[in-house]
Amino acid sequence: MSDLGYDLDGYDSYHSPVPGQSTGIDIITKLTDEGFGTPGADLFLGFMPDSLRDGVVVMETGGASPLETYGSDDDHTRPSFQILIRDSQYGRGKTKADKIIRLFMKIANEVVGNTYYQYIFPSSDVISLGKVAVLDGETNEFSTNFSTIREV
Amino acid sequence: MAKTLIGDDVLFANLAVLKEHMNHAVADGMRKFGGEIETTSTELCPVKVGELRSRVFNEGPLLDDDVYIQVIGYEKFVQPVHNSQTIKQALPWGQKEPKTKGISYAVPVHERTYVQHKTGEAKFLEKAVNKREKEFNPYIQKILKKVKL
Repeated sequence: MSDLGYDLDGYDSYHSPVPGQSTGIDIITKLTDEGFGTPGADLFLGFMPDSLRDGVVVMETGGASPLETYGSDDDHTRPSFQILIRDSQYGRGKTKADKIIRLFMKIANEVVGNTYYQYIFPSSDVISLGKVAVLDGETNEFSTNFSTIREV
Repeated sequence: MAKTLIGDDVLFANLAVLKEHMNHAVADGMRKFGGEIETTSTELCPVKVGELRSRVFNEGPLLDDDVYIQVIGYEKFVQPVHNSQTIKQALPWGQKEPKTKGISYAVPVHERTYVQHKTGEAKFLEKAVNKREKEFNPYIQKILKKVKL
């Protein structure tokens, strides 16, 4: 387990050549630094716990094809990611989602986590997904989506 | 020494006609390419009762000022619902199946990336666009090469 509370085994895909360079981990690191949650408690990567009423989940959602420059080592990938926000209070959840959008829409030519990002850009505004059933009742769910261009 | 084969007026008139033909060709190409994305998206769209796949649409191209827009989406005629009980009915992992045709549930199905589907997957529209994106420019170029007066 890493110090983020995640098992980093398996981060060996094209987009994540070595552990620690995954977009998801970069985003989790940023969200932790900005006080949006504690990894493993109310901040999760790649899965949604059935019991989560109040928390944030980061999902890596693929993205567009890489931008390759022939004859150069400066290849860029364009992964996208999704941040799902759950909150038992609608207004609080919406506010948190808005803050997360504003946090990432200001990032350009910046190192996030371990990786240099040319930009991170919201590909949608906050989407309310309505109520969702959890193990002990129901909660509100919001979705935000982002596109990126980053150095491999 | 250069020779003038046709007058300026004829040349400009022909260019105007060519421009119009090119606009029509691009518009037609956008509609056809929209159909390709619609097909790819439908293949990726989850199936539980089959209702969602039937709600896909490909509309346009719509002319907004001088920009053509092609819209591919789901549930054009279905109103979103705000009642929590109704939304729960529409959820793929809720207790009840979306049996009522008037219920909108494309957005939750598209966005809930943590839900496992037996057929299809979340982000079915976004992934279709990402998958076919690179084909668009060559496709339009090919169409434009065929445009004649």
